[in-house]
Amino acid sequence: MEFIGRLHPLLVHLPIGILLLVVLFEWLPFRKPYKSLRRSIRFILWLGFLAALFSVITGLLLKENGEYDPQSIKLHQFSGIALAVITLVYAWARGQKKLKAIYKFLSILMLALIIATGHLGGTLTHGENFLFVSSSENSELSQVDLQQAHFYNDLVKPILDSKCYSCHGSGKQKGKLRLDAPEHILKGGKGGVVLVAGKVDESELINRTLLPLDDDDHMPPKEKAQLTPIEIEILKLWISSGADFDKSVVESNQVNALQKIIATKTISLAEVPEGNAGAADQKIIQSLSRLGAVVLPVAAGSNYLSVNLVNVTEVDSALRILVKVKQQLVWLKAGDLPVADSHLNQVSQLTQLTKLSLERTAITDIALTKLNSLKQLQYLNLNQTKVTATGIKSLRELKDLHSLYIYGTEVKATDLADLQQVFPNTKVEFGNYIVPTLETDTTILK
Amino acid sequence: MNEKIIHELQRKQLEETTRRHFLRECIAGMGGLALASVFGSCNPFEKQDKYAALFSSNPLAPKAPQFIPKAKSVIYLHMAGAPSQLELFDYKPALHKLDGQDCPQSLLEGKKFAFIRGVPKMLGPQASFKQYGQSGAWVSENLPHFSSIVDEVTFLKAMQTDQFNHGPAQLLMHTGSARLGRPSMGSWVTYGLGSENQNLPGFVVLTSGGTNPDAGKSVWGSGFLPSVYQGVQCRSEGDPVLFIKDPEHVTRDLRKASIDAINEVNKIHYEEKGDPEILSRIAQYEMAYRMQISVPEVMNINDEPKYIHEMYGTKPGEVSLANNILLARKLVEKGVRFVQIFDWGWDSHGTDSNLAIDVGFVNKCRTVDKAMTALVLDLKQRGLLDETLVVWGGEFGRTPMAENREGKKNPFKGRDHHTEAFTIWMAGGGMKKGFTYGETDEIGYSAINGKTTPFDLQATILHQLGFDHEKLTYEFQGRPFRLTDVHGKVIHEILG
Repeated sequence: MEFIGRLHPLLVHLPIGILLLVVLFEWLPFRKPYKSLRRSIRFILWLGFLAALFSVITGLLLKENGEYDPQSIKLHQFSGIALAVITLVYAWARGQKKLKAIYKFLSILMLALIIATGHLGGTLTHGENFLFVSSSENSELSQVDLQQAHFYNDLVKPILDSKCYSCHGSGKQKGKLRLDAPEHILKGGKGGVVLVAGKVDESELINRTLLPLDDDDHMPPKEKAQLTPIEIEILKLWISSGADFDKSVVESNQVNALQKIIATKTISLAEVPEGNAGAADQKIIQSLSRLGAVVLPVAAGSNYLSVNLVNVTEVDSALRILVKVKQQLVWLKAGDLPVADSHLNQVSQLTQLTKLSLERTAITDIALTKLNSLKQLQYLNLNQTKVTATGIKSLRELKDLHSLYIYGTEVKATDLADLQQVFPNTKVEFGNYIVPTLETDTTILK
Repeated sequence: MNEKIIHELQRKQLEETTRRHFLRECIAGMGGLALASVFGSCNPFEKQDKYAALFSSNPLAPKAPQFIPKAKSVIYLHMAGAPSQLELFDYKPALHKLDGQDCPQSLLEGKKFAFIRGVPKMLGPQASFKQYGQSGAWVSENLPHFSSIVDEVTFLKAMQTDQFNHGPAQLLMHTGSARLGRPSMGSWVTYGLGSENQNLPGFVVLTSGGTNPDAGKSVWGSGFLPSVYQGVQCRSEGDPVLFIKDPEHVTRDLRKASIDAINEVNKIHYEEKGDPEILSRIAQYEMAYRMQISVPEVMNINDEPKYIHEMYGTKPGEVSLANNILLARKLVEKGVRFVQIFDWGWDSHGTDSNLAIDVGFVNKCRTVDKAMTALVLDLKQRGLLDETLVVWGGEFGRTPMAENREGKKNPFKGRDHHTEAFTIWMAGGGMKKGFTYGETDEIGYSAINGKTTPFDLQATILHQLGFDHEKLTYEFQGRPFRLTDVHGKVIHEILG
């Protein structure tokens, strides 16, 4: 019996397909030679009814298995049965010549029920957020303020929500396990307790995620979205620190440990703004290419542009034209070129820039005073230019700046501590690394 | 339909024109055409047309990746011959205790080795290890410099391959197939991204150690991709690219004039025939002309300041791994996408002292340690490490047993080829810092956790450059091909 019940998710696709065909045939304005197709409607309807009937029966059997929350099933069950009944009435009415207006109406009603039942069923299997929420990973994680955050609510719960609730939540309780509230988590499932506070090794909640992907007991199942390593580390830390549902991160004394986990994310290429800009004028892009500039979208399909002036000889013209694509321009490489302070009048208008390379150019501190308008700037390379610590301090308004390169500039090693104070959230790269020459470097063993 | 035929034609011709071919042709045609320019029949056409042609027909024109990349360039340091993970990164104290004992049968049953026959003896680690950095990574005394930068690096300690001979294993590593004929990773990347700097090739190969890798030039070949995408092997001594110098008595102006003249003829030809291949040809002449200046310039390390030479341990004028590593940095700085470095001589079998794990191998380590450490630090201070992925490794690992060639004890200490575990490290390009992924058993015989394959590595490298390895494909013989064939999984665990 249980097996027949499990056929439900398979069988339900039959009435959906068959009955949609009925609606299609009923409303398509057929001409010859297809007009005769309309005569098949009644036959298809009967088929559809049988399919719907079997779906209802298997559905009721599946419900008996008890993996689903009776409350959430109710509506799906009701609309499913209603669909079977309406199909029956419709099939009967289709045979009566006088009832034409009624069966057109019935076909619409049937369509509505197909959609409703299908959607409600889909929500039961795939979880509530399946349709509309994109699966962006850890997007919020970096925005969590660990000093304020509540360990369970702000860090653990979102992970369970995105990766576990669809099968172990209010809608469905596979293995009789629910993970959507503290009391349910503590209760465990068919296989017993899943969480042992303080003991990661004994907590099935973690162990299952660590099994090989091909293992039948691996969770989440192979075909579902997997936990990321960072998520697993967070869950582990939560359990090892006592699996407390009420404490904040600070109260659990785990701020540093968490920071370490989250900070394994390295900073790399400066990010591109969310969304998309309008497309840049192709003519402007062409005129830049003609000057030898490499103008490319940051990725296929994006309107944001990355520009490299590597082989440009007419820097003046190139920069003047660049201002015309300032809405799109996010990355600019203008290193190794005769860029002078006066050019910064143009650069300062490129307000969407997140990444700017000006290494080995002729700029001085005067240029830096003009960069304050580039509020989005995250990466700035001033290597091997004549800028000084005083000039660099004038960039203090750039709050998003996370990488600042000042290797080979006039900045002195003694200025560094001071600079780091002015830019507390910026990685200031002073360089000048030395790889000492060791005696063994050149000795050859025989 | 029409477009299809044109594409076909274009591809056909690209396949037939190799770099050598192209450069030779370029020079052969020079004399006669140079004459034409002397008589003043040439008229360089306008700049506008030149660049329009360049970008519409040039197969190396820069392209955007599929998604926003984490890395823009790759420097792949391949230690050909396969360095021993057991004397560098994979510290196995338990192996010490087994030193000199017979290898247990359980490790030999059903296994095949390149040279080991019968029952070999176990060989303990031939170097002392210490933990370094905040990450506490184990590094041996063979790499005193590298140990200072372990916090910049991600280790893959459970790499596995299925090829135990150098040639096939190198091919697998770089082309995704142990057999000849597939395009190399660098070719796929150039096919996908073009060349950012139109004055330089997109894919450069540098070799040292006296010999080309065992797999030959196929490890940087373009396979069935158009041959413009093959790696351009540059030499660190003499002319960086053969046949690129102007012939004697041909001045730069004369060369320019003659190229312009050829292109003028080509342009007339194009106006008559309308074949886009002619535009592609014009673009290639232009590029060869520009490369004549830019390649020797970027390939010249003489002008680097003294402290940089001290940092890398480089000596201008000789062919050395260190020189090549410094060159790699210069090339990447100028926008080259993929620099492939091969260094031969890491095959420590113990058959002679050069191939002994405690003699020749130590010497090889000394040739790379300072330079690769300098590379990572230099890229870091130049703001290039975030967008440059550095990969270091061999084609397979080495056995925890001492090699006994033909069943007899080898004259020196050495290890045989081993497929079941080896270590690779990566830095920059969006990798985690100070991270280790994968684990081997207590004697380093086999990977037990976090296993990764060459396909996974390839998928990961393409991913960092902005490509889904399953979607970077090329139609060939009626089906789309890709670097990773039907394998490969991006190693998300090591991505920052």
